[in-house]
Amino acid sequence: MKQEFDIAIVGGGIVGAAVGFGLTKAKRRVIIIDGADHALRASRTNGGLIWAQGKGANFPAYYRITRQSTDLWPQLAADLQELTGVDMEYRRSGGIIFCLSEEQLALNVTKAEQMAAVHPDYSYELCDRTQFEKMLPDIRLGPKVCGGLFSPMDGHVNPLFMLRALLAGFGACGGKLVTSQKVTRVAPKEGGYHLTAGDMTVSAERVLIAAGNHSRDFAESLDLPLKLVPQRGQLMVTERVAPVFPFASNGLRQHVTGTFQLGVTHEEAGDSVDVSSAGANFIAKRVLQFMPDLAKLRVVRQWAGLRVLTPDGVPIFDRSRSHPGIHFIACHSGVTLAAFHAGPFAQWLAAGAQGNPFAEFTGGRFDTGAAA
Amino acid sequence: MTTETIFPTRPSVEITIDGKAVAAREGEPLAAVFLRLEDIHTRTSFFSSQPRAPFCMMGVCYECLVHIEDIGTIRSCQQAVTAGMKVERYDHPKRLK
Repeated sequence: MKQEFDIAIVGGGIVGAAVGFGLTKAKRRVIIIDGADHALRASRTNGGLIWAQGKGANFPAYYRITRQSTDLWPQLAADLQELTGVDMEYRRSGGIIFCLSEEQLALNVTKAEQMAAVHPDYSYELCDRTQFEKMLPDIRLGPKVCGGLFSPMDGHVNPLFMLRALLAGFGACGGKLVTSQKVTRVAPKEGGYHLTAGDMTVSAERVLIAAGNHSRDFAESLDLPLKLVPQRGQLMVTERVAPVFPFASNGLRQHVTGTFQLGVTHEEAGDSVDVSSAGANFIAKRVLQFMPDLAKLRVVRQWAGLRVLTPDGVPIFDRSRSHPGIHFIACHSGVTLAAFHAGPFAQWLAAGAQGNPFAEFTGGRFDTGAAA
Repeated sequence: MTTETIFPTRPSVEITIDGKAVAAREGEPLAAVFLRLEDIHTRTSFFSSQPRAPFCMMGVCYECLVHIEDIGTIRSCQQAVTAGMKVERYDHPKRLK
């Protein structure tokens, strides 16, 4: 029986929106059902880094999709800008890892050398303090910065504009977006699935659960091999200052409009997205080691979100054990992987999800053997 | 009819904006002073080079940013006027170094 939609996506964050955009570009009939404002929304709490350095150090396939995505990003940004007019402030600026001691530097170099030995396209440069000073003429580096790594693979984007552009692009390609509706039930019916959200029922041939930490709500009922260990991250933004830092760096990035975005904490905090003065203190102390003059800036906002984190930090691409037409993605790097989600992943799903090209990413890798 | 003044008028004081003397009421929101001027702009967006003026008056939009001596860069709608305040429009971005 013909269903209303080819694919229904549960969750309109950057993962669901990216896959949805890719599916509509492949001419599929797609609906995205997004939750309420108070839902856990990792898409609205992230640093906006598009980052390949060190990704998948123990998981080569993760590096490969990451690198594939960073290489597809310029085209995604250009496509979305042309289609929607939204400038996501995407920059492939290169990314810096600042090191505060020779030991730290040696550790990072070893890690980079190991990755470069496995992946011929892994690209990085070792920089000493003087090189950083030349790259950053308008920034006074902290006294302990001894050098670090620079990689042209990395970049950054405004994650809020990115989400807006993905959803606008999805709509422009004919996708249907429903907001403020929590999907409470997904049930097989007549060769497809019925999704219930409030008083709405939608039928689709396939389902993609991309609800971030809320995907856990479906793990039992839909038998998803999903394991998450959410982690709270707090962020701060400062007042705007003249643009001086064009590069991406872990927990330290300047928007093209001047604000510095500072991060970030890694906390076990249950499902709490509260902020704390201890978190602010931790973030400030960390970034001031790199750029002490940031202390002169006013912080205008502090907020927190829950990372969608698997036990090994690597995404899960898998499907329900009992309903093969129900897929799910659990992933922490929704910004970096957006071009992969909108590209190769969406194309695979659009073509009928044949075979298992993402077999390394299944959730079964967390099975202990005792219990499924 | 209200017969009592709920907020009694406070004394008129002088402040400076970009070096020029301006009359204001002590305790009123600084942004309100700008709205009475010929040139109501408080800052220039360095990204777009557009002049900006107080907009939301409730601390959200950040369009009314100004610099006040001894206080720093603040939202003028969240700042009460005090006598002798030295205010500068925020027309040039702060530099980090």
